[in-house]
Amino acid sequence: MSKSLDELLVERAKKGDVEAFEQLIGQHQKTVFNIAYRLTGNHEDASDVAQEAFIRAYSSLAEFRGDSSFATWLYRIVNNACLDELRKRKRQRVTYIDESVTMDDGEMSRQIADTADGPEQALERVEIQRAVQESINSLDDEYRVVLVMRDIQGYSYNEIADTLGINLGTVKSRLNRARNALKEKFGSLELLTPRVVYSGRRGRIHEL
Amino acid sequence: MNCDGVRGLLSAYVDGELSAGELLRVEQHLRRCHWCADEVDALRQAIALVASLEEVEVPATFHVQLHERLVALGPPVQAVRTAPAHRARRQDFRRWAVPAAAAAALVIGVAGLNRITPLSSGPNVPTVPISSSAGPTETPTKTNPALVATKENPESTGGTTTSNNPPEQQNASGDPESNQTPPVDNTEIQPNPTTPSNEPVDKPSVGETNTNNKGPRVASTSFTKNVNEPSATTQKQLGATLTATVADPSATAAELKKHFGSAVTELRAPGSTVVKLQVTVAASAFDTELAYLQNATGVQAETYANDLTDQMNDAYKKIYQLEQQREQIENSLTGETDAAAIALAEKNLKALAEEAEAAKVDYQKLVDQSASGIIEITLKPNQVR
Repeated sequence: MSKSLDELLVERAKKGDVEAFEQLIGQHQKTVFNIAYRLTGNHEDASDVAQEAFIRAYSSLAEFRGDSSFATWLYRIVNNACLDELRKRKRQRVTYIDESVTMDDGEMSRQIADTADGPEQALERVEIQRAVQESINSLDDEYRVVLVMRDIQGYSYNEIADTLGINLGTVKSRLNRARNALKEKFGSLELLTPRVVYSGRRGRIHEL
Repeated sequence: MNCDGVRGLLSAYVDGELSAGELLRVEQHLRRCHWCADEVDALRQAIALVASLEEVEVPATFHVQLHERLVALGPPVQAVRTAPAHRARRQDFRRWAVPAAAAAALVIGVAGLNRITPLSSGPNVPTVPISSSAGPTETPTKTNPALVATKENPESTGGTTTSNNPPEQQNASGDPESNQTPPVDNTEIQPNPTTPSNEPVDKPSVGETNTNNKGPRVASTSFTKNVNEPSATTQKQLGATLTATVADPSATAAELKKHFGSAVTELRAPGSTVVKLQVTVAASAFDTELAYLQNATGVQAETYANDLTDQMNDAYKKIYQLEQQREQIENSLTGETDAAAIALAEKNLKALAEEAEAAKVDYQKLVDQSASGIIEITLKPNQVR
């Protein structure tokens, strides 16, 4: 019975073959970094956390028995690493503000170049994204985590409950509060389009 | 169902995570209530905004850094929390054995200097400053922890320690950072009570490399910051005050700011014509900068030096004792199989680790202080005659 590529790579990685490990994680590096970035809110922490997560994965390869896919196992470790980092930062009470628009000029210009939009619209898009990320940053940790897991990583309620070790009801309520908080924030930043409603019987327009 | 009852369910409604009964009630309500319907809409928009976040690029340095760290780790170790990990640590004892007498001699001998000299990790590795009254203190009569700083490169203590590097063996592969900052090892202070102190002082401690290189310990995130013992040469904080009368304090201040850059803070009372500046300089640059200032203003400064020796010794001793306790607990865990005992020990270890962490932060503050000097400059305007 031939083994999958992943299985072979895992075997080699367990023996210390770093290149094999890097191949295993290759397709995940960007995703992992982005998860860390959305959770921590800045590039520096994201880099630290993501590296830490991969290191942990590498170090505990011996525990990986292949009963879940490598990706599933990896992302569990990633989320735990992110959570640990958030807890650690809470103790230190230091927050790094990511001057993403100023520092990462390369990224910004890349994003602008990427679209068919004119430069104005592209800039606006970047601004919006930054506003959204900052709003996410402003959430308390436990709300931010469920929000990122659900609305960015796409986990189910059950998966979130399992990973975080909380019960389903807590997931629901935290998610609800997180999203409501964001909705308020976005509203005040005028990022939401109000609905326009016709009052059925009299045809009046209610702007809401 | 009224709005209050519904609001709490809207998030789950959007996700399709309501029970059949809840779903029915919510849908009925939404048909009648445009406020809640708008909430749903706004909620969906907010979720869409979040989901629309584009992926950011991974910084170029990421892959390189990760690769280096992975390589430095060695093969992943078997996931065992007890004996092997602890056994591995035991073997680190060798690096701690330093003859007490030699340590004392080193400290006393260099105490006279109060300028920074680069910490050479060669034969003159300074060790723990024992309370120089040479009275026996509880712990260090047997051995003193040797300097762990170890690398082949001399470190200048002018630098400040930076980040805590989780990977334990990062330095094994020649860390490029080693020039400026003190080694970012994962150092733990472990006395060796049993081994007689035969180790010659000039043996550079092996540093963080586990001698059997079993790979990283599988235990929880490592948290020990690296700790440099107080170098006997760097335990004063230097300072100077300089008061000068100049034609235009603001102009002079601007000149000085240009020279010192971000190392300057201005303290100016509103409405006052007197300008006060505070400059922080590296201890090694203190003399030169002071000379520059005296030249620029034509005024001699008053210098002073805060002696931090005792504070640093105390802080260091505290760390040492905490680490000792940790070590003892870790040793007692070797081969322990009782889950309750392990749990309790782990709890204690955690508490000790946190204390040690805090103590190290305090210590580091002192180190930073001793590595820098502060110059206070007061600029007064010429009185109009």
